[in-house]
Amino acid sequence: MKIAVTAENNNGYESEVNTHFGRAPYFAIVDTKTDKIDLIKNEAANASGGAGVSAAQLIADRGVEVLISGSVGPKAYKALTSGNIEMYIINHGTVREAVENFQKGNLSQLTSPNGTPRK
Amino acid sequence: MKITVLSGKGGTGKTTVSVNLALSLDNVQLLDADVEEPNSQYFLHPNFDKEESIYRKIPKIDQEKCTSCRKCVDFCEYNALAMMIDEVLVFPEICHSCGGCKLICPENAITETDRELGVLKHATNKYNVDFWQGELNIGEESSVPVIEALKKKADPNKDIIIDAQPGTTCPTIEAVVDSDYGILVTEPTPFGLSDLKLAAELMDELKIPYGVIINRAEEDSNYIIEEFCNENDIDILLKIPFKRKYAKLYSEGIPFVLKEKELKNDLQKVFRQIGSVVNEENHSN
Repeated sequence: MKIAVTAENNNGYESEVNTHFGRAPYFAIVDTKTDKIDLIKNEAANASGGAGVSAAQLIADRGVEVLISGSVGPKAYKALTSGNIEMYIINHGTVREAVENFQKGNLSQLTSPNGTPRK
Repeated sequence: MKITVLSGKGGTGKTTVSVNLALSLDNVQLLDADVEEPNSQYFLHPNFDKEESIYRKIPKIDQEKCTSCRKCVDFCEYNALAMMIDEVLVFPEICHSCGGCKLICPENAITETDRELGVLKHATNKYNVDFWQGELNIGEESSVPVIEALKKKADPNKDIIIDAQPGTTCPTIEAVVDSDYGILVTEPTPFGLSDLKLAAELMDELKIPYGVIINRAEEDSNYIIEEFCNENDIDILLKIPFKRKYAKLYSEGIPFVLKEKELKNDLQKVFRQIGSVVNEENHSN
């Protein structure tokens, strides 16, 4: 299974998590089968609008099934739900800790948008 | 004559100037183009008698015809379309209504539907000012089409005053772009000056003559604005003093000129001064 974690920097599993889905600088894509990690720069982080939709498209295209982030805005939520991507909440720590906590079932699932779009 | 009242910084007194100027003149029309928060109404106490919806086009996908080729999604610069499990999703809030997706779709699977973007409202009021205001619907991002439609209400037989949105971006430009003159309202603070510079730069770029009104003017701080205007040869049309009486009238929604004839005279003078600048400009062109 592929898991995406929003990341603050490009430091593999030790990257710090970022808590704003659409505006996160990086997405860490972890393949739990192989433990391989890919960090992708979020080109839409500074887009004037639609960053959440663009981010959802990016991780959907990578075959991600689970997203771990802090907050997801209404448009991104709609896109991710349509893409059957489950969302889980984290507020701090590293990408490694985020994935471990998810696998232990420690993270709560997001069932409605909890972020606000940036103006 | 068409005059737009604008400012770089918000909250400097565009509405104060627009409403009081309108109430100082005869045969005038006031268009509130600050469509994200039109507040001239709080001073005119209008009775709205007409309302028109403004629509914009957004794409509608025929999922039967769509082959998930993704050309529309890749084309959209605004991320208003997404492809999720072979289905194109539309995000109307971020769509800029450019129509590009419809053109690029090889299957003709995209048509356009109307979405209400905002409304125009006309009102009568006891002050006899012909008043229209534009309102952008909550959640919408693009106010330009509402302002465009509002400007079409301009009565060619009247003098027009347009209360613009603060800032120097598209909505402000749309409000001012075909005006004869711009009144830049500022306050004597470093913030006021900083944003006044941007507004002046915009007007230079648009080649529209303009002058400055200093609102909340105070003797010991006016120099902040005066120095800039002197250096750049910009007319200071008026200084509206910072005084308690005005603050109180404002808080009660009472236009100042109703209670202070002097200000009314001053604004009429400003209007005549603008008239002669515009005349000169027309002759030299």
